[in-house]
Amino acid sequence: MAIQGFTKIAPFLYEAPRSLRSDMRVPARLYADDEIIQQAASDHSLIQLINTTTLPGIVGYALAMPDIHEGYGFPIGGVVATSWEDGVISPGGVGYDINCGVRLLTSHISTSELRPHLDALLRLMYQAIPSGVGEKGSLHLKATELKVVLEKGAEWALNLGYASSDDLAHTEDSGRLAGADMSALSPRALERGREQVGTLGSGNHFLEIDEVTEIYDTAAARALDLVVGNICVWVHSGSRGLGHQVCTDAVNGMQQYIASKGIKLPDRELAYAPCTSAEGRQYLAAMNCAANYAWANRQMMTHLVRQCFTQALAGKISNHSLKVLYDVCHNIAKVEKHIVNGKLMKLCVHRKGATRAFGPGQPQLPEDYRPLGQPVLIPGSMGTESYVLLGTQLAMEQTFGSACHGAGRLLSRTEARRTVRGEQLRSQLEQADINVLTGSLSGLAEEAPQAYKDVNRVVDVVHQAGLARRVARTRPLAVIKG
Amino acid sequence: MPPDCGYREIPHTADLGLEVRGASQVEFLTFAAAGLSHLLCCEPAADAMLCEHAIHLQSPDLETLLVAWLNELIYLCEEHHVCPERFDIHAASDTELRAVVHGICPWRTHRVIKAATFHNLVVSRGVKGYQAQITLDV
Repeated sequence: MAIQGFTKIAPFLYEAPRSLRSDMRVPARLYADDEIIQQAASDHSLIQLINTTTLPGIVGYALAMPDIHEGYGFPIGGVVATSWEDGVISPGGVGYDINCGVRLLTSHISTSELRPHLDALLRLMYQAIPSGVGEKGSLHLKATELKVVLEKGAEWALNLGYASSDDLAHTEDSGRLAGADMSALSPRALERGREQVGTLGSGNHFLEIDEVTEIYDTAAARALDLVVGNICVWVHSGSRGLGHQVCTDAVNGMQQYIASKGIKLPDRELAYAPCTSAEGRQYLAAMNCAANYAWANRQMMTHLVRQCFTQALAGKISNHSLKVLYDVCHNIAKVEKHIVNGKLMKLCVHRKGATRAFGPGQPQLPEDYRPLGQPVLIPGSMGTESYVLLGTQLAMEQTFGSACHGAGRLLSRTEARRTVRGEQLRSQLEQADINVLTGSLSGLAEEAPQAYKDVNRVVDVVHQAGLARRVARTRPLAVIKG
Repeated sequence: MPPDCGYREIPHTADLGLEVRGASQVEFLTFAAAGLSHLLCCEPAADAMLCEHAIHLQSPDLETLLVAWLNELIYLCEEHHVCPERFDIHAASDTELRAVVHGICPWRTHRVIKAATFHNLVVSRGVKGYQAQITLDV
């Protein structure tokens, strides 16, 4: 039985044929199980996925991952690859929080060692890393410094002693996208970027101290330094106001391009320009700046977290160092080469709420991970488990090397606020031994675990479909919500 | 949300939805701004003071003008810590808006709104005036 035109073609794969709608250029595919596709059919996610098949130059399929949910323009969990030569780039396929992403830090600290110091550590982290809307950090960058951040990304932090070369080696693209050009940014975007490096932001952004609870692949876990009972730190943040402004500017600019060409779109948020046009190149140069800013931001937060660990644990726990396992972005458009219909093609791969999941042997991976595949970091919702997986060869063949990015939302924010009280939720989390610090209880309610899909189910689909394989699971001990 | 205030929150899975209606362009854009201000959930800081900002926008159509107007308020809110409270729109058409935004500054808010989007945005016009549903990225 078809669900909004999608039929099951493999155990965890649904497809809508090109013939479903006259404006489709390629079929659409969703990785899901029976429950997840039913959930996706309950809002506009599947229509949004079909809309992305209309983008000029799209190759293969418009794809969606099992964490699919309704976004704006693209669905969240969407992956669209367009031909670089004759395809388009769409800022709506990246989103407003450019290079929103996740970083995982591992340690040799056991949970029992940390427990007596956890509250103090959490409070230190809450004070050191500003969270909330428009919060400024301790750094006030001059224009010349901001230029370095934007064009060099995490390298900026390395040069100032806020990073090690090992941190950069274990960051996607080494924390720097080439082709970033500060002159592509509006004065307003630059203004919004001056004081937000090293800040968490709000919404679904978080810092989380977790315990590794389960290993699925012993050899891979050993290579990634993941040990049951040890603690790790998850960082989820992005490019802050600067990234939001870059996207706003680009969506506006591309509305003008669309109007000037008389193009009719199924949704104006899908506005685009050819990758090789002046508009397309300008957006890419600006987006790369925002991506670099986000990496500098997550690196700066890593530095601040390490300082807090030292302050709280020095003299109490001998080895309290934190190692970057990996850092992935999940809102981005990347110029990549993939095989399409047997031919190597230069593509623009949009990942909107989707994670790169390159398989073993890819030259873009750090040397120590190359035999394994790329770490894919999947945070669950607050109060539930998170996962570390590894990308596969099958992902290279089926999804342009992509997998899901999280659990994916289930309830609207309105519904979450109606059914969950922030104070009560905090008590429930505390009863489950999860400390929570937040500036906003209503924000906490909107991000309640019940507002999200079951992350175990989402990860199971990705694992069973063969897009990424499970390595380890972690569970939260303490959470800072932006 | 007060009844018959010209706006109402509508559900959206990941983001926020706002439905706005107004008898004229001025009323429509005023209610849109009031709806955004409601969703921002601002709380004045102890040392908050009154402030005002003049805004002049030009856009090719009313949809683009609406998005630009709301994004201008989001920018004021995040970057200048202005909680927009009252909107004196001196001139509004499909393509131009002149307004003074009165607010308090500084504030703290419980919610980030990253941007107003064009997602499925169509401003419909009928005998009762203007109506639109707008998606706000959070």
